[in-house]
Amino acid sequence: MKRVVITGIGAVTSIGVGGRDFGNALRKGVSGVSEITSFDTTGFEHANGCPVKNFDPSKWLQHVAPESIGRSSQFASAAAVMAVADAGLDRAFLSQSNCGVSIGTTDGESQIIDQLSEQAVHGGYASIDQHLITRVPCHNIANAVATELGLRHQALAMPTACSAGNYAIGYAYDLISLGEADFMICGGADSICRKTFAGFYRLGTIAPEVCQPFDKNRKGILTGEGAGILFLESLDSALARGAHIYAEVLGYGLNCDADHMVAPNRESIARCIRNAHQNAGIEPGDVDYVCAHGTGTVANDVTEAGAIRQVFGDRLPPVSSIKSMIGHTMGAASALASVASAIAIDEGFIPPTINHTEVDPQCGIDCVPNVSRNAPLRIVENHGFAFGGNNAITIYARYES
Amino acid sequence: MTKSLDIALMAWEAISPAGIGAKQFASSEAIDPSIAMPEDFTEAQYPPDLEYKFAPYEGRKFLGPKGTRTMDRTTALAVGAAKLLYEARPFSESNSERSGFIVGTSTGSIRSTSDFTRETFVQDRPFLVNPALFPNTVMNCAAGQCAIWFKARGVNATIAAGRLSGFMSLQYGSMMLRRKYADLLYAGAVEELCPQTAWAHKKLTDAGHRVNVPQGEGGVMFAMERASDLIANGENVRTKLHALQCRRYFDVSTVPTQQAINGIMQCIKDTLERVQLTKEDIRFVSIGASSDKLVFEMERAAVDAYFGSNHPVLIDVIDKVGETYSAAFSFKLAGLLAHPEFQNGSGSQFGLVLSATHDGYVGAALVSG
Repeated sequence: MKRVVITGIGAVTSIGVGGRDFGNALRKGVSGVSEITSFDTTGFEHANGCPVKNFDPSKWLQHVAPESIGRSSQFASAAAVMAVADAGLDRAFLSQSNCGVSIGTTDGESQIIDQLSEQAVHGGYASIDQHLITRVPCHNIANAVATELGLRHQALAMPTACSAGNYAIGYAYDLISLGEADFMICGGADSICRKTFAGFYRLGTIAPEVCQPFDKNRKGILTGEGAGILFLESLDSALARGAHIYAEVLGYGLNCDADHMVAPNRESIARCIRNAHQNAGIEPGDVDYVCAHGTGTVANDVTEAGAIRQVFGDRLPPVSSIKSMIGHTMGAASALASVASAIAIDEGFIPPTINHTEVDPQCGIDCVPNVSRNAPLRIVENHGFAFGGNNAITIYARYES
Repeated sequence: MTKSLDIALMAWEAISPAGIGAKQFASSEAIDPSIAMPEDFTEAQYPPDLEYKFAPYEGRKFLGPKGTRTMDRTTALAVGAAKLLYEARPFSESNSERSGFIVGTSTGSIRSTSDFTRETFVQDRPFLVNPALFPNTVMNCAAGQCAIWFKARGVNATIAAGRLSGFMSLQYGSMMLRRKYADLLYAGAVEELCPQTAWAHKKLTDAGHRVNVPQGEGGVMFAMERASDLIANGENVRTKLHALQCRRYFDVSTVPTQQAINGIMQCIKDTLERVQLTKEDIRFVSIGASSDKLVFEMERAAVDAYFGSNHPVLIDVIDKVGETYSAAFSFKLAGLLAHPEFQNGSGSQFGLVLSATHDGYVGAALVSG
């Protein structure tokens, strides 16, 4: 089995586009909150989110017409172009190599589905725009990445809801470690949409102003959007071409609650953490930082913190949530958290949980409140949980030659 | 050159327009389509001028009232196929953490998502949606519900790759088994026939992108395990998955090109080379199951050119299941496994399941039985 490393990153987020800007914003603790404008929010009493503003995909895309694909595909393919450039490679090289794509998503091209649904409401199904139909299936996101970069290896999407990014990265790691692919472009992408906002709003889980994970005064999630992409290759390949190595993918763990579609399950999450440790060949004491799922709902935060305590006992590593800054980017969430983990390992700091006012004693964790912390990180554990009970946890490590 | 994937397919099940279960699928008995027409056909505004192949299946009747009150059809088809397969090839409580589901779908239940979104437009306030239906709008709902029904706590995944979704669910499952993350996986795909997919089919047919074959639906699942483990335990393994191969073999095409046909032929060649077989070893090829006329013509041309006079038995389940998009590859594999000559074989016959997509991806699965 081959060792697998991260040699390129790409990010589209509400607090920064590109690895460098995103990393700087994470370190500074920037908030990406603003009012959602991508759909008509009339009738909602509050409509804050973490939208990506002024995104111009034509800056990155040269081989796919931006207007021919949906917003999630635009995010993913732009971030993929960034990751490939960051890895010091180009289209000409990758199109001749064994490079595949796996992209996680919750809602796929949700804005297209919003549009088609609205057309059907106003004009009946007969009025729906034929050109939008073929953009609906979510594997279009992976295909757009492959087309933009001229890739020939397999491409797929993994719509496993809000842990999808980690699923896609885990699968990419498997393909490289077993020699089925030489390079993988993997991560997650989603767009803010009316359907998901309305659903969470109805459940009373949308915060009116800001997202405050692990805080006693938390009021819920903020929906966000964007894409996080990692460029993966074998360690041998990275060393041979002298590539910069952000981090090594040590392994990951997957499991399913098989219990409830929506409510998180502490025992099951604890089991998933142990799976991830076992697959990565580490012990709880090896983990220097947990990049939490940390949505900012009571159900998630208390359950997640409880599961962490169950596995780590009294020796809890710092646990922060970047959702305090970029909101809940759904299928992109654990991918962007993976990008954040790679940057954190590479640069030696822990991203903060911003908007923190008061510790929630039910959580009892060090959430790195408000200010990032310099720390030499050796091993980072990155959490992704989802509707459907789909838990996925990735483990990253500093590469030491 | 790699060795065989070492995957056993010990059982499979399907809910399809041909009926409930693999036996019904294999039967040549035609089902009267009118018995499967949904009660809300007119009210739900299906396009009246298409032909349909609904599966004669109602989730609530088949699965019982408990847990099905808000279940949509995509999930009901998946859970129904899973129930049949669980009965045919169960796992024990002690293996629940090593067992799981992989469901191929490219949209989830588009009816659930679209209807939920519709409510945000037609209600007095946009948030007056039914919260109980919200989980149906995530694409992993079917896989998550399968896990809940059968307490499968291991690997659980949802895979999207359009008409290759069923291929990718096998590919993903084989990777999970090779990495030993799981011991038993039920992997397959699902597609629901609903007004939204019917109108999409009509629009794309009217625009010339599809041919006017009946629209179908269904759920198919295969029980995947490591063959060598089973053989070590003294089990008799008859059906094996030896190789999976997928690449983008040609560029997006709107007319049949030689490049595309060559690409499909190359995929067949690459698949056989993985396990050092030659074209003479292949007795069956399952192709088609698609309303994409271009793709069917290219698959057919590539098979004719590659195999030449030594032509294998061609299988196309389009007449049985209709256009089933994400479920198509799984149905094509079911078509091979259900073929009477394949079923009566000694375990040493090879069959190939082959799918191309108009955007240039070609996937192939090599199976023996």
